[in-house]
Amino acid sequence: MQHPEIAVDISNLPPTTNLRSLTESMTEILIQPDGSILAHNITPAMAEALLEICPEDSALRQRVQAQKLSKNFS
Amino acid sequence: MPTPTPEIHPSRWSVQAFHREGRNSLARSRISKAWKLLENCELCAHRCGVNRLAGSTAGRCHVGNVSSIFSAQIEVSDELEVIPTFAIAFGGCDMRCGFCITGKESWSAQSGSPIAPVAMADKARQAIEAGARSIMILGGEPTLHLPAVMELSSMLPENTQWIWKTNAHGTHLARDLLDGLFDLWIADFKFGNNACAERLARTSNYLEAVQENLIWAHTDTDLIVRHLLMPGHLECCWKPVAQWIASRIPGTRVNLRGGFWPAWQSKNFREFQSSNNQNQNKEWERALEIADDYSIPLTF
Repeated sequence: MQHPEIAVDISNLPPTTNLRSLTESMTEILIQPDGSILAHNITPAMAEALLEICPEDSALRQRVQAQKLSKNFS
Repeated sequence: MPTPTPEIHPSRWSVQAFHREGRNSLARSRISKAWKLLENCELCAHRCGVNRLAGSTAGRCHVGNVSSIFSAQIEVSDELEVIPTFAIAFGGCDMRCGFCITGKESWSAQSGSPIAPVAMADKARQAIEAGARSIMILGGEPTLHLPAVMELSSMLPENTQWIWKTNAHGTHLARDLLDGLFDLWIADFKFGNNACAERLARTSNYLEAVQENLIWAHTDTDLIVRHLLMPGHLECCWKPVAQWIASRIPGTRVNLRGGFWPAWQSKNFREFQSSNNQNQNKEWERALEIADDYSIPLTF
């Protein structure tokens, strides 16, 4: 059975301005009027940055620890 | 939003033996069947029956025969036991949750770039070598993309944990294709009744589809249920969800998610307009009490 072709090499696609690039990582952050910060799709680097802003956040600290516990993470 | 701090259990943090030889070949053997199912698509519980193989995008999800990826990166915001994870997100979803945090990408099947399975598998391998401890397939809703998922899974590194992150709205046809491939299902149980699902996500008969999937996943694989605590939906949604989990799939780990983000079209719903942090904190405390009442094992 023939499949529709899906194996498109993304490196050959033109750059897009309105869509996320697969070559870049992205975390979205919402700073609320009361100063609280919400974040999702948190990358390791952003977790460390957020922990510097919110050092008392134990849940965030555990996420930073997790990446450090992981086998090769630097 | 205060979050209880779980203890780190050594067993959860050891490098577990997820090397399961044969998954690549199992996925490869299902590629043709997955494509064939698109001819009369009933992969999700909407059962639109459109011919996606021929390119039709007339189904509820508007996904045709091209699968696109809108994000693929290492993340640490999922459950502690799986992070860092290499998260591969497919565009397009069969539900229309007005509060969806990735609504723009999830509601559009054209979000991102068409998947290149070989290149994506190579990225996953690099992520594992860089320290990611798992690979997570998500969306949007990945169930809509099972042909591409099978192709990708035929090439993913087998020596790591594979996670299926889903809205749990697929049919048995989807489950048949997924059976035996993933180490862990992380499944949303968003609504505790069909009226809320209809109003907030334009999805009928929600409970029946989700509960069927959760019972299957509870039996067939390792399962974590996620529930996003929506402002004003403590009694109508979280409580019945907790009650059902306790009675039908007892012992299942639940990730109760606080910190509601008023994203996408949340402004269209009155309960999300009037929400504030003070109310959310009160609801969070009550939600934890409900979890305790039903002896729900929470994970974070």
